[in-house]
Amino acid sequence: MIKKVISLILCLLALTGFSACSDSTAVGTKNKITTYTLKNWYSISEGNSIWNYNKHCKDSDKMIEIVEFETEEELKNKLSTELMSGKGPDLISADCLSAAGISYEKLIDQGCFVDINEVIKADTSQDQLNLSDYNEKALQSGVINGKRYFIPFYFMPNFCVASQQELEKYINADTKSLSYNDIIKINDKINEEKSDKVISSNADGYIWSYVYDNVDFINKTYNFDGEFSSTAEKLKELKGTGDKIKEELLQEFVISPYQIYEYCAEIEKYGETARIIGKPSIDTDVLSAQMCGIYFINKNSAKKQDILEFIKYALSEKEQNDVAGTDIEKYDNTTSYYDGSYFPVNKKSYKSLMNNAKKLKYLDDTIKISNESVEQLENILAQISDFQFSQSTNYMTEVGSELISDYVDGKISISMFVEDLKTKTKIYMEE
Amino acid sequence: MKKIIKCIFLLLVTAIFLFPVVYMIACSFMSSSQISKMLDFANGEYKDLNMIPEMFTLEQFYQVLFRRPEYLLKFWNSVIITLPTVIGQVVVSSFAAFAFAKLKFPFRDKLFFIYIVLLILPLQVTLVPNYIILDNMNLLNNFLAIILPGTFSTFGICLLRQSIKYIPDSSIEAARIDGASYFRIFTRIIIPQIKGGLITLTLLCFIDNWNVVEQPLIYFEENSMYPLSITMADISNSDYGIIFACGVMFMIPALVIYFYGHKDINLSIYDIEK
Amino acid sequence: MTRKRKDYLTAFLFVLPSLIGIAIFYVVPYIICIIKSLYIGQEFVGLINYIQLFSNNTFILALKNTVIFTVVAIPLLMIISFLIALFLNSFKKILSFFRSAFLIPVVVPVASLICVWQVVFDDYGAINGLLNTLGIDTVEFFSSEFSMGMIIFIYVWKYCGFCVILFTAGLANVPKSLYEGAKLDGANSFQLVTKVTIPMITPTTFFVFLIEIIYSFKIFREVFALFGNYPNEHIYFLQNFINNNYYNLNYPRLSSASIILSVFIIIILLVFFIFERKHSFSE
Repeated sequence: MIKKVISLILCLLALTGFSACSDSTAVGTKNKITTYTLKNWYSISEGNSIWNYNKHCKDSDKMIEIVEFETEEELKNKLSTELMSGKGPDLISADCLSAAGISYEKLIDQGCFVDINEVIKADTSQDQLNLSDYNEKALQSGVINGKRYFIPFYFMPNFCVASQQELEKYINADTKSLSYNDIIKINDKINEEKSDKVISSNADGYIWSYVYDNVDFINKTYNFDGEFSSTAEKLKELKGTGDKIKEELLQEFVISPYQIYEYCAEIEKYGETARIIGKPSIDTDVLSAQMCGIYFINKNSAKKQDILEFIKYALSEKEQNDVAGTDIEKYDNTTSYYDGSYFPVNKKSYKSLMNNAKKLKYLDDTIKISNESVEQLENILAQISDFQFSQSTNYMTEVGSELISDYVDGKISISMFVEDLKTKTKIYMEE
Repeated sequence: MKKIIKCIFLLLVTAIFLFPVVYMIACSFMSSSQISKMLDFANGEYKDLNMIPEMFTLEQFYQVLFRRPEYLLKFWNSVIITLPTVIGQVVVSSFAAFAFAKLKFPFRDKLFFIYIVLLILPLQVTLVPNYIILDNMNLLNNFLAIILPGTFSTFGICLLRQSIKYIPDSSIEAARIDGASYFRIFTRIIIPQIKGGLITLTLLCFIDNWNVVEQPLIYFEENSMYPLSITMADISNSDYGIIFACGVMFMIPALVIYFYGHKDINLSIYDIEK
Repeated sequence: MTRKRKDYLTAFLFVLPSLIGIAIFYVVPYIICIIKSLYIGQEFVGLINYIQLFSNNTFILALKNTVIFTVVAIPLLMIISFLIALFLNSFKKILSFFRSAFLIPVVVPVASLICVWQVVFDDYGAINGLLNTLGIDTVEFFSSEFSMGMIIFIYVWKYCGFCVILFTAGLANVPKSLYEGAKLDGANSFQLVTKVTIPMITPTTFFVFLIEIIYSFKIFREVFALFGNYPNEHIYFLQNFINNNYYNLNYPRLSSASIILSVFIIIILLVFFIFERKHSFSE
């Protein structure tokens, strides 16, 4: 009897299952340009450019639809399957790829992205994109193996600001940028002084940059031999500020030039000279910056020319002025954080930004910046030659992060750390 | 004396097999603070293997059943995916297995070899081409995208062919001589005798489809259609308590089916001895 | 229509639904996979993908690890479950609870047990605690060659129950008369097992072997849950390779690796099939 009842219930459930199959829901409108992202993940540059473009765009067919996903797994599986089977979103941002955990360099190898030079050539509209209007070195970083895969919209220089006199106490500060050995020397001397100083609030992140700097994704090489072990051992000891407020030797996290000037002026208030120097890197003659607003065009997309309109809009002088904040009149570090963000790639915008910085009122005119600092900044900005992707690539998340955390926490020894790094990086590169 | 040693050995072996499961059930009754203390791997001391919860609490189950209704929705999604697949596979496989085991037709053995090869194909091989095919059939955002390939999996055929083979040819010959059609033979003679095999197939098919992870992620476009197995596989290192409770609940339907039919499995094994 | 032709037709009708389904969802994708593995992008390149694959160190590493796992774990599981089946059979009467107990590991989902495995195998977990009190050094299960041992243990633990049931069914099919005859001829228990039992259950053994291969692929889920996408080099399996290439969108490489995997298995299967043909008694 009981068995009969149970069998009946099971049959009913099966029937409901079959009936539930009949309705299938459609997803998204197929007219618009689509791009994928993870919920609540977007950075300022990515979110703003698309929203502003949608507001500016009058033709609703040309607007960009942002499809949001709840989890990383979903985004990753969806994106890979669709790209492999010949579909996928039209616009793919580098941020979306980091969120999904997919390596951009491997996609470039597979030829998933369109050569933007071709799209520019095929453009028949009135205002053409003239590449010489923009920072050549930044645009050059989008060219890999002769094809242009993206045009970065903004960049953030990897600079630190420090007082020249303080810095000279520890190292011979003639180079354009600091080296990791310099950092180690500074750390040793600060420890000898037993003062309450820290190198910078971000000092415990230097080991991550060190590992990242030693890997070249485009040429598929890595270097964990030689002095890697000894340097890594010393970098592990660095501590950031944590919760306490301590005196920092180097100021980092520069976002807008206004912030740099503010730090310079603070230093000059105490009668010292400001010095702008590159963040720690392996090659001290090269200054680097991080690119923002990197968008790839899917090879399978049918709307390449429409996406070119979006790129033109994002690179236009007006939009870049808005985002970089070239028209603001006052700068107060507690309220003006988002008024000026990122350095623009558009040359005219860039000039306006620099000019505005000289005229700006800082903290209600209580801070004055000397001409020498202004000239120093302009000089050093012009010397940036290496434009990089951000550190949150798939390699660092999958391979690097667990190993580095384990090493810093003391769970594995240095020799095991180096060995594991080597094997896993080899597996990652050659897959 | 020998008997006692045998008994002890039996208990030992059973304990090894059951230990992780019992541990998991015990953990599902622990409070979250005890769980995070237990799973804190960073402090370098030996972990206590506590089997007995400090405070016997139903907190985790409460969270799963009442506080987070999405788990119930996913549970039903799992049911909707699994039931039709299991029923479909049993039906299709029993027909085909009968043909492979007892009937003769050209290319029978070579075809069966192909079936075996298809059985062990790794999942990633067919994932993307299936996506293309399902897209062309417009079945993508539909539960049928998982039910159909699951129904036609060759696993059932291989399993049932094994069971049908043990039925002696003589009974079939006798029925043929009496003038029964093959269909009659199938329903009257074969099916009652392979009840054990059918139950085993149901159980295994159920387990396989209950745990399916990769296909829903790719073929379904909406979050609300995901089965529970995906949440189980998405270990975000935060809510172990809920995972334990979900695991216990996840285990229950499969156990129910087993207890429903296990007598049949064991019975048929000894029946054939005649 | 002749009787034979009619028989053929009926048989064909029985198999028809299965054939259609298999053709659509399994055969066609497999063929697509083979075809795609001969292309890079849009151009036909023949066997270059396969040649490149064999000169790729990561692939060779994955292949080596998978072969080691298969060659060790499958016979081990077979022997252990066979012995346990014999052992259970030697009890005159046994509570069905004990038989059921072995099936429970198969039923439990992977994710719930991850924590348990972590607690047991961790550097400061239960097993290391036991080893340390016996004076043996801590074995790092998660990051050394013993990781392979841990995975093999989990594999055997999980699927032993099911193989035991299959072997029990097979053992029950051996006619008692054979045993009695052999005992009369003066065979001791060891000879009974080797000369009577093992040859008689060859079809069951074949089937268990098949099942084990299927499940040895599924073990990848545990490896993935415990170690993520890039496990240490001793347990980097072919499935990891295939999976990672999936997310690298490297479809040619992925399909050629899968085809090589299936060819490897087909060869093993062929050997076993011929073996079964020669020694089959139940045809």
